[in-house]
Formats: sequence, C-alpha cells, structure tokens
Amino acid sequence: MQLRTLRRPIQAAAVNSCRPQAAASPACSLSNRFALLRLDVGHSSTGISGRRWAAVKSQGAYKLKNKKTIPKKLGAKRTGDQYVIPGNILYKQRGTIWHAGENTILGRDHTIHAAVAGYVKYYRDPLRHPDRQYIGVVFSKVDKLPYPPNSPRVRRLGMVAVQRKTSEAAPAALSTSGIPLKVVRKAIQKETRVLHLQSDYSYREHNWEIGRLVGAAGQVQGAGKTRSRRSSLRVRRRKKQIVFGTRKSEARRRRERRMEIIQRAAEKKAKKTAEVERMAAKGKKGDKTPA
Amino acid sequence: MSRCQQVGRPILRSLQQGVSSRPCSAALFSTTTSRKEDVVADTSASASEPPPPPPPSSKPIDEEWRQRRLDPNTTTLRWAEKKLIKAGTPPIGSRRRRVAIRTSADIPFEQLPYQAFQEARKILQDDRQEKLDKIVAATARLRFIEQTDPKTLQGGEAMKARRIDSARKYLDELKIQADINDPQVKRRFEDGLGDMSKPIYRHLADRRWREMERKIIVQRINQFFIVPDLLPKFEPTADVKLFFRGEKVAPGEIMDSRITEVPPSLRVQVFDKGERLLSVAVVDADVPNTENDSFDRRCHFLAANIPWDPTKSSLPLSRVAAAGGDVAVPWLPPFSQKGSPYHRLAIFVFEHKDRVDPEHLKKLYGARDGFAVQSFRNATHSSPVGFNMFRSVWDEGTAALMERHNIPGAEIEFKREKYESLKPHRKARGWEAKRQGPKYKFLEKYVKRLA
Repeated sequence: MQLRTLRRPIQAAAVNSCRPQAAASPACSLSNRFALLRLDVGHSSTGISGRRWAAVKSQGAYKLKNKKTIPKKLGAKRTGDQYVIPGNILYKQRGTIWHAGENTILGRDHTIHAAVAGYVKYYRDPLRHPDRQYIGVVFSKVDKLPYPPNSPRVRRLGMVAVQRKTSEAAPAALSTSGIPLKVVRKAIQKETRVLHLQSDYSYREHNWEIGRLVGAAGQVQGAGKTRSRRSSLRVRRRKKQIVFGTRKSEARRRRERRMEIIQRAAEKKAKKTAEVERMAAKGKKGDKTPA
Repeated sequence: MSRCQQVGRPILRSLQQGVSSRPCSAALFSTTTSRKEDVVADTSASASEPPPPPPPSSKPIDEEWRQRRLDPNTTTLRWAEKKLIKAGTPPIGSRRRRVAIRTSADIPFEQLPYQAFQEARKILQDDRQEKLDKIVAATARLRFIEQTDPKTLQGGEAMKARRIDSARKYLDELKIQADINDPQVKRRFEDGLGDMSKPIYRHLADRRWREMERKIIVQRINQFFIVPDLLPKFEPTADVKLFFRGEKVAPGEIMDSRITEVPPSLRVQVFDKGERLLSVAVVDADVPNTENDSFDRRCHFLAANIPWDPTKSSLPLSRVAAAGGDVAVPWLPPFSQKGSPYHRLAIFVFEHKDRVDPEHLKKLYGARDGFAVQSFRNATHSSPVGFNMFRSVWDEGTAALMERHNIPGAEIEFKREKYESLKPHRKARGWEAKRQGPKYKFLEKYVKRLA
C-alpha cells in the first residue's frame, strides 16, 4: 500500500513535466517549470490544496490491523503424526477448544503439552465424551486413537537403569564443639522458631526466616486485635499439636514404633539362631573331645 | 439398683406375668433367640429372685467381681476388653451400648411397658405371619413346578428351568422379607452376632458392604486402572479386607516394604449361600522392563482350592494350607527398585466349583514373571469375586529386604530418560558470549565463562 501511495505523486509530477505546453507564454518561467516538478507528498499538501480523495482513505485502510493489542499466537503448534518429545507444546488456546487426550498434559492456561515422546494424533472419543475433540500422543505412528475400550493401557517405562548411589551419611546434629547445630523453640502464640548456630556461637534464625517474621506488607505484628475467635482456635490447635502432635506426625510416630518393634523382633530372632548355632557347635566339640 | 428402678419393679413384675409372647408357628429363618437367651448375664436383678446386696463402694477384688467385668455384653473396662479379644470372645456392640445394658434393668423387648411400641410390634408380627404363609405357598409351588413334566409346558425344559429359578428367587426374597423388620434381627446384626448361614444376615451384610466399602473398592479398581490393565471387566461381589501384621490397610495405601515382608491376612466375606472353593492371587502390575521399555506383571502369591462358605471370614495367607487350600506360589515380599514409579499390588480372590491341580499351577506360574490374571482365570475356570490392593515404593528398608530374600536388582536405580531437543543448535548470543574470546582478554575478570 505504502509503495502505491508514494508512487502516485511522483507519477503525477512526471506526467505534468512531460505534458506539452500548449501556450508557452514568456511569463512561464523556469520557476513554474520547477513547481510542476515538485512532489506532492502526504496529506499536508492535500490540506493546502483543500482536496481529499475518498479513495485514499478507502484504499487498504480496512486491511490495517489494530496495533493496540499484542498477538497471542494461539493455535496448533504441531500437526498430526508429527514427532514430539515430552514437554513440547502441541496447542495453545483460550479455554479448552481441544482437550488433553492420551499421554498429554493440560497446562494452567489450557495449553496442551506432550507427556511422552511419540506422534501427535488429533481425534474424537465418543465413549469418553460425545462432542469433545482430543489431542493425544501415541508411541508408534501407525497406532490409532482412541484405543479400543477394555484393552490394557499402552504404556512405556521411559526410564533408564543406572547404578544406584548409596546414600551419604545424615547431616550431623552437633557441631564440632559439641553443641547442637539448631534449636527448635516451640511457641504457642506465634510460629515455631528454629534457631541455627552461627559462627560466633550465637543462635538465630536464617535471614530469610527473619524476613518472614516481619509479616506481609501493610501488616504490623501485634497491632491487630489480640484474640479473635479464629486466633483462639488456632492457639488451641497449636497447643494440642505441641502436646499430641499432628495427625500426620502421629501416624508417622506409630509407623516408626511399629518398625522399631519389627526391628527388635528380627534382632532377637537373629540372636537366638546365633545362640542355637553356637550351642550346637559347642555340643559337637564336646562330642569330639572324648572321642 | 437405682431408686426409680425400685419403684418400677412391681409394674414390671405384673407385666412379666401378664404379657406372654405370641407363639411362633413356623420355623425362624433368623437365629432370633427367645428372650431368655437375650437377657444378659445380669439376670439376677430383673428376675423374681430378691435383688442381691449392692456391691460395696470400694473396688472389690474378689473373683466374682472380676468375672462380672469379663462379661462381653456389659464390660467397658480396657483390660477386660483386651482380655476378651484375646480369648476370642470380643465385647459386643459399642461401649455406649454396653453401658446402657449395664445400667438399665434389662427388660426383654416383649415386655417393654410402652403401649405404642407393643402395638407396633403386633403389626410387625402380623406382617411376618403373612410372609410365612406366603413362604409355605411358594415352597409348595416350587415343589409343584419341580415335579411337572417339561413336555406339558410350552417352552419345554428351558421354560421349566426358568420357572424353577424364578420361584427360588421369589422364595429367597420372601425369606428375607419375613425377618427384615424384626428388631431383634437388626440388633443381633449390629452387634456382629448375625449368623451368616441365614439369608437375612447375609442380605444385611451385603447391603452394608455395598453402602460404602464396595464403592471404595470399585473406585480403586477404576482410578488405578486395574480394569483395563489386569482384567477387561470386573464387578466385585465379595468383601475382601486386607490386614498386615494385624493392622487394617486402606485399599491402595502405600506400604513400607518391611511391613509387607510377611504375608498379609485377608477377611473374605461372601454373601451368597453355599460351599465353594477360593483362589487368591497377589499380582504386581508394574514391574519395570527396560529391555522392552514397558511394564511386566509378577505373581507374588498364588493359592487355590480353599474351601469357603459365608460363615467363614478370616484367611491368613500364611496359613492357607491349614485352611485346606494349596499354595502354588509362596509369598514373595513386594519390592520396588529405586526411582521406579509406584507398584500396584493387586489381590484377587477367585471363586471356582472344581478343584484345580496345584502342581499344574506351579508349573504354569512358578516362575512368577509374566503372570496374567486373565490366563489364570481361563485356566482354572474361575471367576474373580473379590479385590483389594496396596502399593509399594522404594524405601529405606528395601535394599536390606532384597538382600535378605536374595532378590537381585537392589543396586539399580531408575532415572528418567533424557530427550535431545528437536530445535537446531544455536550459537550463544549476548554480551558475555561476544566477550569470550582472546580479543577481550583484558575483560576476563568481568566476563562470566560460558560453557
């Protein structure tokens, strides 16, 4: 469009200059000649001339896109049967125009990603939903989606076996000088504080924890109402937790106790068998000596 | 005895003499006992005998008092409850109920001095009588159909069979309907004293199971994809509860490998009448296979020919042989290698009419690997009736457990497969990338080295 609009005044100027002058009066001087050659650029000249062509506005103006929005670049990013690897984006959309089918993941903004390495399939599954359309990924290109109902799922391990690293020793609870590395201070009214040993043998929270202590922006600790119903309930809950532990911790403790019992029983059994063996060996020896 | 009880005693006594229970013409289908049996141990207080001297306020330590505390109907003491559970006669009903029985004069149902209640009982008994009459008629009809010559019927032999089936179904329904409104039946069932050989208690137990527990099992079957992965179709009809080391395990729970080292104990409750044989199979549905890049199945336990009926419930897998069954594949503790996704351990209970040869099963499935539930079902002509499951993951005890049982593969760890990016390689760009070369050696101190 731009090229055409720019070309027009040049063209006009060229035509003017080439036109044979019918009455070449003596008054028609060199300046006039130059005036004819002058380029007529932009609306400033039309403003001066007072003429405005409707065609100028109409030409291509409707084709202009609204420049005030950023393009969202939605739509299909992978076609059917195309190879993808886990995490590849298959489709970007607003809402679920397409639904996540076999081996795909629906993102937070409804973007559909591949969950496995394979080939993209666009399909419908009337048994799952009568009018939804799905995007899926299959392991071999010839496979068709949806898979027949009641057939075992097609799965891939997607893992490689490597040598297992034996775990390192647990981090020490005591420092080299024999004092604990951290102290847990349980508080009923406030959060439980964990104090860590510093290089100068003082105990304090980590810097990020100190940052947390300040609380959220615009909130001054201790300035609010001292006891709401909710807060009193919270205090009660924390007291209970300190005494009895949470349900989860209770379950964990029970499990640990159980494990301990099992361990002890196993040790006892091992000891007993060792004892029996020892006795048997002794008996044998005893038998042998008189012989 | 409390003051108000003392006041009410003369009325009660007169009631006991006046009201007599209606004679029952037909046999009971439930084990509703006569009221004599239902009266709990503390009969001395309610009968015509003079009341015993009230127990002294200080705790007596005599044997008689101890014995009274050990009554499963009335005790609420922890030590007594424990002792009763150990003795195999667990305390009956809730503690609240036991307290209520202990503290109230235990008047039998027939003698409760409430007019509306007694009128209601009369209506129920009339209804029961009606059902009993119908049962007599239905039984006669069934006998008549059985004796008819199939040639006289329009549909022949098939029609006769269908009619017998329908008549039997109607009879079973009537048997349940006759007892379903009996308050004593309801009470016995809720106390856990129901006799499962009676149709009414089986019906009530089935209804209670379907209310919640079956729904949970069906949900596990669907959400853990047991149905397309191990069996194409499966509707559980028997209740299977799972216990490891005496503790109940919720269906689908992730279990510690050290706890699952010993075989579990099952509580299998079937709700249809008759003797049958059960088979139990424990299958790991997620054995990683790196060669084919897929998952295999493994049999962890297989036992067959366990005689079973509705009155039985406890089935410890360590004592299958004692229960009369054959162990084809002994218990292998579940384990999962480090990094592998959780393993689903599915416990299937099958039902079959004929005995299966355990040697044949050993030959087929002794290798454990590649066990297919469908193939087992077809080979033994059995149908799956019960299901339960748990899960296993790698934990601190797994390595030692695998060593103890000589299971190879503990030194392996599974890591996620890495994929090369599909995008072409692009040269590094930016300020730092530009200043990597020798030309900018003087800036070395300020430029981060790119790999």
